[in-house]
Formats: sequence, C-alpha cells, structure tokens
Amino acid sequence: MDKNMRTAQKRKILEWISSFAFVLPVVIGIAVFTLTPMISSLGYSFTRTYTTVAGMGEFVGLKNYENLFGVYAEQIWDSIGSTFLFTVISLPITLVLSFALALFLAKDFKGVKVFRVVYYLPVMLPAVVSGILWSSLANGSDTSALNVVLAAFGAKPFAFYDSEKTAFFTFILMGLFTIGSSMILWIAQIKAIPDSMFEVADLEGANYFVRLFKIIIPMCTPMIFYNLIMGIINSLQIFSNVITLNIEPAGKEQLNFIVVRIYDFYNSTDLSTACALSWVLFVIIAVISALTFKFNKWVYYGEEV
Amino acid sequence: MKKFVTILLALVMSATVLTACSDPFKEPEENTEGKVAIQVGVLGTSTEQEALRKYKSGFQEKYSNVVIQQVQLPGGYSTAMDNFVATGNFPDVVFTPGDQHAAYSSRGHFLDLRTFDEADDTFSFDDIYPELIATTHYDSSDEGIWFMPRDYNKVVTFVNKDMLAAVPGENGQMYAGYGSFEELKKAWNTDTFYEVCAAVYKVIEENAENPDGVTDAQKQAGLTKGTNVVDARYNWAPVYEAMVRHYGGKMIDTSQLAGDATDWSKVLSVDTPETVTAYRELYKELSKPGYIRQSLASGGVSAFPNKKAAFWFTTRPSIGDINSANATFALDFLPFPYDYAGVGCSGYAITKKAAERTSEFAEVKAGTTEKMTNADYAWEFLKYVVSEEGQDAFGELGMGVPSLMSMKDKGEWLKYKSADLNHATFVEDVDWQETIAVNDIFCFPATAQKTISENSISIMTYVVKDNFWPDDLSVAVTDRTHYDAIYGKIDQYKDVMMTRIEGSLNV
Repeated sequence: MDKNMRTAQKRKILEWISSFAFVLPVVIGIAVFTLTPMISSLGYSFTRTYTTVAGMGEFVGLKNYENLFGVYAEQIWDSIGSTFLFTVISLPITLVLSFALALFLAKDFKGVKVFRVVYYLPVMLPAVVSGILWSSLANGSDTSALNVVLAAFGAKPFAFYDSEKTAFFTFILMGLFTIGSSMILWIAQIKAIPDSMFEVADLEGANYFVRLFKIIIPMCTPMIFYNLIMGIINSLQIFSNVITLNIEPAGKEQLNFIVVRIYDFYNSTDLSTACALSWVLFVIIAVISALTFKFNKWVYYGEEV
Repeated sequence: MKKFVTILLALVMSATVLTACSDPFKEPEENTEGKVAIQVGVLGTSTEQEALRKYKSGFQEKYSNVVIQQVQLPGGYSTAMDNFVATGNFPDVVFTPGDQHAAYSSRGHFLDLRTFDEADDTFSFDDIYPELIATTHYDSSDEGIWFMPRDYNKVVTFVNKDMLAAVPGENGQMYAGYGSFEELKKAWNTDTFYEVCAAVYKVIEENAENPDGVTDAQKQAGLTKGTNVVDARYNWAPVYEAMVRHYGGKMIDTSQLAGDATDWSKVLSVDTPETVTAYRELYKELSKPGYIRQSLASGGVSAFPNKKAAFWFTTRPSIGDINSANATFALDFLPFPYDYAGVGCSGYAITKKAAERTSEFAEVKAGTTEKMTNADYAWEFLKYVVSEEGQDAFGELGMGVPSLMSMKDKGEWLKYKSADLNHATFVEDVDWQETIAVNDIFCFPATAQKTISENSISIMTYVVKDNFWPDDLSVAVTDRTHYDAIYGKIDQYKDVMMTRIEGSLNV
C-alpha cells in the first residue's frame, strides 16, 4: 500500500514537473518581455529619462503625469477623444460586418474556401506594406487608384487621406479590410454549434431569423465577448496602421491616437513622458476591460452541470 | 501527392528559415591577427555601405596594421543610436547625418574633434567649407566639432534638359527662349527661373488640353498632362528655410535667444508679419501659377526622376534616386534660384567608447609611453575620409561633393556621368546667393525639436494651398482678419510647438 502511494506521489510530482516545464517558456517569455518592460516603464515614468542618455534619469515623482494633464492636457484629451471615437465607430462596424460575413461563409457551398482565403488575405499583409499600399491607393491626387476608379464612374476626385475632413473616415474604411481575422473566429464558433439544435429548430418550424437570434447568436456569445474585448484593446492601441501611412500632415493629424502620441514622445527622446502616457493608457484599458467583464452576464458558457 | 507537396513545402520553408542564420549585410571575415580593429557603424543603404568599402580599402592600404570593420546600423539612424545608448556598446566610429547628430553629441556620446586637431599638425579644419563646420555644432552657443563633414550638400536645381529643349519661348527659341542650356545658365536667377517655369507650364497646359497637338519631342520629354514644372521639396527645411528667407521671413529667429530670459514664442517666428509675407510671396510666385503641386509633398515618390517634372530642388545624393529610376533623360544642374541656399552634410563621429578601448596591438603614441586608443586610430581614419584620396574615392560614387575646399575644381566627382555637366554649381559661389547652414532648430530644447520640425513642415503644406489664401493678396499681412484662414492654421501649429517647448522646459 505504502509502495503504491509512493509511486502515485512520484507520478504526481513528475506530472507536476513536466506540466511546469511545458509552461515555463511562456512564463519566462512573459517575465522577460512583458513584466520586466512594464516595471521598467513604470520606473521611467517617475524619472526624467531620455532615449539619448544611458540609464535611468533623476527621480521627479509625478511630474510627468502632471505634465500630461497640465501642459499637454489639450493634446492628450484630443488623443483620448480620437481614440475613443475610433473605437466607438469602428468596433461595432467591424463586429457586425465580420459576423455577417462569417454567417455567409460558414455555409458549405462550392468555392467557399476560396472566399474565406480571399477575405483573410489582407490580415496577412504586414502593417508596413498595408500602409504603403493605402497611401498610394487612397491619397487625394487625381492619379490615386481609388480616384481613378471614381473617375471611371464620372465622379469627382475624393480627398481620402489628404484632407482633415475625410482622413478619419478613410482610416476606418481601411480597417474594414482586416475583418477577416474576426471572421475566421466566428466561422469556427458557428461551425461548433451542434447540428441537433438546428434539427430541432427545423422540426419546430423555426425560420432563419429565429435560428439566428435564438440559436446562432446566443451560442456565439463567448466569441462575441472575446472579439469585443480584443477589439476594445486593439482599437485603443491602434498605432502601426497610422505610422506606416505616408500621407499629408492634414490627414495624419486627424489620426492622433494615444499610442501615436506615445511614439511621438519616444521619438522626441522623451522616454519618461512616453512611459507615463503608456501607463495612463494601460489604466484606461484595464478599467474598460474590467467593466466589460463585470457586465458579461449575457455570455452563454453552456449549461452548468 | 499531397504528402509530397507537404514535404516539399516544409523543406522550402526550412531553407527560408535557415537563410536568416546568415547576415546578408555582414562583410566577409578578414584576418585581424596582429592588427588593430576599428568598428565603423554605417546605415544599411547601398550608398553608405559602398562608401565605407571605398574608404576602407584605401585606408587599409595606407595603414596595414589597422582593419576597418563595418557595423551596420540596424533600422533607422535614431533607433540604432538609441540602442547603442541603451547597451553602451557604441562602435568606435559612427556615420551621422548633419541634422541628427545633436541628440547624441550634446549628450556626450561623441568626442570633440578639436582636441585631435589641436594635437595634429598635419590637419586643419580650415580646409573644410566653413558652412559645413557650422553644422557640426549642436546648438548656436556650442563650438565643438562633433563629427567630420564628409560631403558638401548644397541645394541646387536639377534640370531635365530634354524638357527645356522642347519648350519654346516667345521668340520661338527653345529653352524658354534662351536657345541653349548654356545661355540659360548665364541668365539664371530668380526672375529667369519664374520665366522658364511660366513657359514650361504653358506647354504642359496646352498639351493637356490638346493631346493631339503634342510634338514628338515634347511627348518624348514627358511634357504632357500630369507633369509638374517644379518638384520643389518645399516641405524640406533646407529648401523652405532658404525660400522663406529669400522673401524676408524666418521660421526660427535665433537673434531672439536671450539665455534663461528667452521668449521662445519670439524665437519661433513662424507667425511674424515678415514670415507670413514670405509665405504669401511663395504662394503667389510658385503655387498660385501652378508651378508646384501640393500633392507632391505626400506621395514620397519624387516626380523628377520619373520624368514628371522639369526642375527639382535637391542635393547631390539625389543622383542616386535618378539612377534607381533608370532615368534616360539629359540631366544637368543650375544653382538654387533664390538668394539663399541651404547647405548640409553627413559625416563620421568618433564615439566616447572609442577612447576607452585600446587594442593589444596598438602602437605607442609618438613622444609618449601611452598606447594609441581606438579613438586615435579612428582620427586617422577620419583624416583619410577628408584627404584628397579619400574624397576622390567617395567622389567616384557620384553621390557626394567633397567637403574639402581644395577639391572644389578637381577630382573624380567632376567626372561623374559626364565632365560636361555643370558639376561646379554644387560648390561655386553665386554672387547673388548666400549659403546657410540650416541648423537653427538646435536652439530649441532637445525634446521639442522633432515637434517643431514636423509642425514647420505642416505649415509649409498649408502655405501652398489655395483655400487658405484670400483672392485679394494685396492687403497687408498685418490684417489678420483678411488672412484668417492661414493665420488660423499657423496659430494652431505654433500652439502645438509652444506646448512642446513648455513641456520640455517644465521638468
């Protein structure tokens, strides 16, 4: 009996060690590449540190945060406003469109895989390539690709990224070309709904909309929640799509999102202010994510046993 | 079949991964046994790499006990430099553009080359163009020489001769009535420039309206719809600063600097009546008549190398863009047509780290018992760069004009492409023109400089737009109500710049 217990204990320890060994690389990765920079940046945000000077600068307490909401307040609130506006407009559109697309592409018909690939392809484009591409596709000149298309239909050239009035709209439009990433997740979720549910619905004579609102959407709520959370985080951190755009200042100034502002401080050698603003953004994202989690009663995780 | 394709794809992908194991930019290993190795950091562009190869080969022939090791600056210049700062692992020598050294020289990462000069009878900075030496200081009060200017980059006018040869003047002669490039060169000044612009514009407009009437020569030259008169680069400081000064303005007024009592809103003179008048003149003379196009500032692709402009305001290294575009038109050069011409340069700096490194194979300094440090060897390398031999090696690449005044009228650079070209215009003094080192921005706090630079560029993009100027341009610019749209934009940008200055000082 003792021997059996010892063997069982040994096995348990071995299992524990092997499972720990599997997660160790991730733990190390998070510790080295996420936690350490986070702690460093928190430290920098209370100092006066420049990218052009080695090491941590002198301790200045909350001065950098005071500056953000003092001297720089107008610009920072402007950036926060732009970022939220982008999130509020772009996120629902992206969620609805990608879900609608997934509903269509979750069906089995000839050539559906080709459609899925085509819609997913833009997601695979590196941000730099995408930026260059959109800069030449959607600038306000007569010769930009989109304006050539408009001219073919007799329409006047549109300013797209070259005007302060249209740049924001163009940027949201550009973002829609990457709805493929959410679409793939929706398709996986829709496909995972048991056929038996649809069979019962058919027997009960449910039409398409009843199936959509009573089966598909409720069963997809975990994915809605996931896409919502990820969408909020990604929208609030929008950055690479902006800095890779080679467009007129008039347009670029409208895309003054928070992370773009952080990058600007960093590029101006002001590491401390960049770090302080990063932490402000971190708190904003944390609060919004927490609230979203708090109000997630609508998410259906299956029947509890 | 499926399995075969899968295995094949896996092999191809593995091979692709393996290619990352070798550094394509790394120079072949060379024997450093018994030699002093000096690391030189340069950008990854082909021009910079080739330039260093030229210097290295010549230098190592002269100094057989020294090996120059090329270190590629990964990413952009500032990213690479910031990484060096963070790791403390600078190469002995680094390439530096003249307008980007201040962030590092002012923070003590480079050595002041005056120290080496004072101890060296074989060299004098007096041999280098003084306007280039002016760019080696990190602000207006600094006298240090923080890098060795390698080339003399003055803004000039690149000319597409094929286009001008197909543009008649009122007298029927080509070159807008001047008959030949030589005659145009003799008459060249601001007025002549505008006169030729008008003639070129007229041809382009006529051809756009009547495509059937375009002559073969004009079609061949590219004088058709969509072609621009000037690819002006008006959003580039060496160009716009000179143009604004020509018309009596100044974006930055360093005469307002007063130490701790400086009123930065006066130093930042983007909104003074003189400067706004200069904007207005630029708009009147260049933009309103259609000689420059606002869209050229955004695309990032230059029109001139692609046969889409008759003139281009730029510097000698832009020949590289013309080569890259495989341009086939006849190219030549004329002076920048305004009273001022911006001058800058790039070069090499010796890092502070080099002074801390001493090779075991280093020789003993003459007259001392101390061994030569890497910085001493780096100085020898820098001297070679600005020697006639080194400058000639660089001149062979065609993209640099020697920084050495003695090579004003001699050397390989004068033979690049053709000795018949007006190469002299890159260096010769024009009696109606003053050259200016565009480095006034260094007078601002370091963390505000980027914002000031970017917002000045933004102002320039609005200056050329029709919808920011009223129809009646004769009203004095002091009447802000009359010019409310343009003042509104200037004020908006000045506010952003002032905020950053205040934020930089409020620490």
